[in-house]
Amino acid sequence: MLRHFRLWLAAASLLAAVVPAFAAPVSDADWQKIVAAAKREGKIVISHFTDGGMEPVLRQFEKEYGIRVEATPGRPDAVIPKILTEQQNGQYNWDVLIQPVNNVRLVLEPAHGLEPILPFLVRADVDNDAEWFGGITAHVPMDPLYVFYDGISNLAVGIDVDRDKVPASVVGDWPDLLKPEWKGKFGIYYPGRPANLTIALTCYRPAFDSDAKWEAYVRAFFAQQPIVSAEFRTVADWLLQGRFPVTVGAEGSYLDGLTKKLKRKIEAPIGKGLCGYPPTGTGRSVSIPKNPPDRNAATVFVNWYLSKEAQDLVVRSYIATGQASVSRRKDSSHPDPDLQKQVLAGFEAGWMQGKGLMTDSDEGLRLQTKVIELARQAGY
Amino acid sequence: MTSAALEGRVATAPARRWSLSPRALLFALVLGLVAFFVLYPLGFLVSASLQIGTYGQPTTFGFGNWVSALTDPNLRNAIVNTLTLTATRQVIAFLCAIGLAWLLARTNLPGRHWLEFGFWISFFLPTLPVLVGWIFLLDSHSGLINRLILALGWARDPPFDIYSWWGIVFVHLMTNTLAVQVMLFTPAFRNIDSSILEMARVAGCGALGILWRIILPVLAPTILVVVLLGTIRSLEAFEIELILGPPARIAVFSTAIYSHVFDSPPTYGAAFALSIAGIALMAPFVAAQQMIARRRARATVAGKFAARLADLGRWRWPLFALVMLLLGAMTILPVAFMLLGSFMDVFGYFDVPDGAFTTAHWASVLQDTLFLGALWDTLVVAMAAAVLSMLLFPPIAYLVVRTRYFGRGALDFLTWLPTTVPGIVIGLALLWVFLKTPGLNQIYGHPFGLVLAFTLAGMALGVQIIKAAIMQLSPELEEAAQAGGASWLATMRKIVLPLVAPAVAVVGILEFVAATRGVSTAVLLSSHATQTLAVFQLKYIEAGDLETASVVGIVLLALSTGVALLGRVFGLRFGLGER
Repeated sequence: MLRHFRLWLAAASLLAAVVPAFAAPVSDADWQKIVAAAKREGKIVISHFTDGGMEPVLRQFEKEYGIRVEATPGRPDAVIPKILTEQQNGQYNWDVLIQPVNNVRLVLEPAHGLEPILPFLVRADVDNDAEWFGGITAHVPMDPLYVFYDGISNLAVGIDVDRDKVPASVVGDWPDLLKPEWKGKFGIYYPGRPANLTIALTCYRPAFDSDAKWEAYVRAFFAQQPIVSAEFRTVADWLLQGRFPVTVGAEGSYLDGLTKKLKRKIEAPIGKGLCGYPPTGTGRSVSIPKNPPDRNAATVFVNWYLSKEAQDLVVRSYIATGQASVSRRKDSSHPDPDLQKQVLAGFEAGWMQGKGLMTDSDEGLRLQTKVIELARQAGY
Repeated sequence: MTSAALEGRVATAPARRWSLSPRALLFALVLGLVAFFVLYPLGFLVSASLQIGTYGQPTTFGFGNWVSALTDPNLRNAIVNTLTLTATRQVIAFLCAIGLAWLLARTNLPGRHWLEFGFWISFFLPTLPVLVGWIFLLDSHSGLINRLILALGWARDPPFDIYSWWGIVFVHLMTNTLAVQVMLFTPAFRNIDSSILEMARVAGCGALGILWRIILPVLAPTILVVVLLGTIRSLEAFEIELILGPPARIAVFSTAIYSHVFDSPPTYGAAFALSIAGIALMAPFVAAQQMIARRRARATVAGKFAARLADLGRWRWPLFALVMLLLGAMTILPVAFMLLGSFMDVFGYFDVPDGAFTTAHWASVLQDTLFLGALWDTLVVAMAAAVLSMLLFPPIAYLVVRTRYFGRGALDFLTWLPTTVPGIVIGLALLWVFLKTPGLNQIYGHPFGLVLAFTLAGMALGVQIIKAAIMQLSPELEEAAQAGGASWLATMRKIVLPLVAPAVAVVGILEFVAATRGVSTAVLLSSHATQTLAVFQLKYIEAGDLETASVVGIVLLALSTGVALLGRVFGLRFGLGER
């Protein structure tokens, strides 16, 4: 028992010596010490969203540092309760989470299931406001900061229209969907979770001068009894296969990719008053669950993941799997510089809390929660 | 002998008293184990349903979750939909299954053994890829069958819409509901002694009379089990309703629970409250089934068992064609589309200008380092779950049927309970149990945790199948052996086990398949170190990558079919086929 205690004490001392308690860039020599400690830990356990984009990124980290990555893909609605239940029973099995910002913020953060992330940012090129659009915090009013919002994915969120069937004179903006002829005639993504539909309707909020007017629109929207699917892909398929000529909340990257493949005339997304241009989807984030078992490996991974090299790889990898993605790093490269410029300009011009993070801010989460509540009242 | 068999009741060994015999000790051990693994997680559900507040944050005790769950304005519709959908598909499946089981077990239908195997294959098909295949065929706008009918000018509007109430009924019938009833009824029909029917015929009973007065009473326990199991499964089934229901604004009881778990913010307390309400609703039905089964138990396999086949005459081949057509729709069609989908650039799109087909999805899966690991984990977990079930369920079934210990009814009742809770809820409850219990926390994230979860989830079906087999054995067989000087253990080994071996083998195979394709029970208990293929497939389904999911679906299907084929051979050798 005493022997075990001594071992733990030694490990804790080593940890304290290697990983600083506060955010402060470390010297190269100290960084090498952290890397060496991480290599001794030998592995890192990561939970990431179920998309193919992350797999090559994790393999690259494994290759560069020789630290085994044990990755489990999963949707946040399944993964986060599991992590929380483990934590409440004293099991701390995870080192890093790479999940959409809104889900992590809505469930794990209020339950104190995260470590503050700033102490883990130890490289000068990462722990530097000047390196990031929106600074390190991305205008998120969080103190301490638990979630590092590194980029934007799933860019196309709004109304999608098959222009071969519906001209702009018929559906050109959100109010058109309230016309009687569209009752029960357009498809939407399931409104019970913070995702594409709630984001799209939240992004329409700036078009109104009060919450009450916006809520009246959202009520009227659901009163139109749009047809729901809980599968992103199905909503896109409805549009492309002609079941509905108008949808809201289709899976943007899938829709984009397929529209190009099929050479179809789909206009997506439309609708004014959105959060920025192009209407941005959800934020991708990295966070550290409470008491990560491989703390040094987590530190190395987070700093590597937020480096220019890794962020470029993330963007390329997501684009290769057909998903649009833009990093918040100012020096990151992008195969479509115009798109990158537009997205980041939209981000900087965001209307919530002055600038930035639209749907993932406190205000954005409040509005998304309101959409969910109004949908429930309408029987969804 | 035959009349004795007809009147046979279950054995009356030790009547309502405890003794220190090996059988009593076995009973106490089994009851204790089952009670622990069933009641402990359920206790968690009850406790968690009374905790008010956000999950993961400080909570207080109260009935708030119950109030909010039960006063949800959408719940009433969900319950009505659940009851009507369940009743409709159970009635249709029952009527079809009785006819099919009779054809397969008691007639000279050509190729009946392989046709029966076809229903097994249908049962083993993974639900989600099959569902996608049916959507591909029956979508009201783009469905191939609808387009074909419109192109041929047979209708002006698409006649089918899979996103509908009848669409849900149809897909359930085509995936599991009908197949499982045929699988369970066929052995029961096979075990009816022909001499009973001949005696009834000699006594002047007509065909309907035989059906009403002989066959139905003899099969009553099996029928009750099948109907009850089907009803309970309908209460917890959610994958089909989750996809086909929302567009038609159809919610059911299980999707209501699912929404509480996965919507934002999650309201677990309400989900647990609804789960317990579901158990409470089902409990009287389970109890009634037990009571009726006990009163109506009839042994059909006695010393002079004979099963003669009816001659279908000129209806032989037309009926064969009809069954083949049905099986084709249940197996070949969905498998063909799953296979096709795995080679399509984009699942369901034939009009991709640069080419609709590719082998890229197969290459991507076979190169995925996680795939082989998941395949190995699946084999380990599924085989272990099958073996554990084959070891654990026969003693439970035997003790329930053949003894009168105080508490045997409770043991029987307990075996039903895990089935009444949706897989995702039982997964969450087991997650808590594994984490909270010293000793058990060592198996969290270990394959054995999954083995235990799958064994619990399959307990009701497994025990009921073996119970039905034991109930059909006349106690006179054991009595004769014991009168001849054989010990209880020798009687078990030489008489009872060989006769119920086919049923035990069936249970092992079902458990193997359930463990290979089970998602909802496994998803929370899997870890980065242990992940089954079905959970691996879920990653692709959630990401909308149906093409790659189809590849994994084909591998899962090959696993299930291979084991079913082995089981069939095993079953034939040990008498699962015709006696």
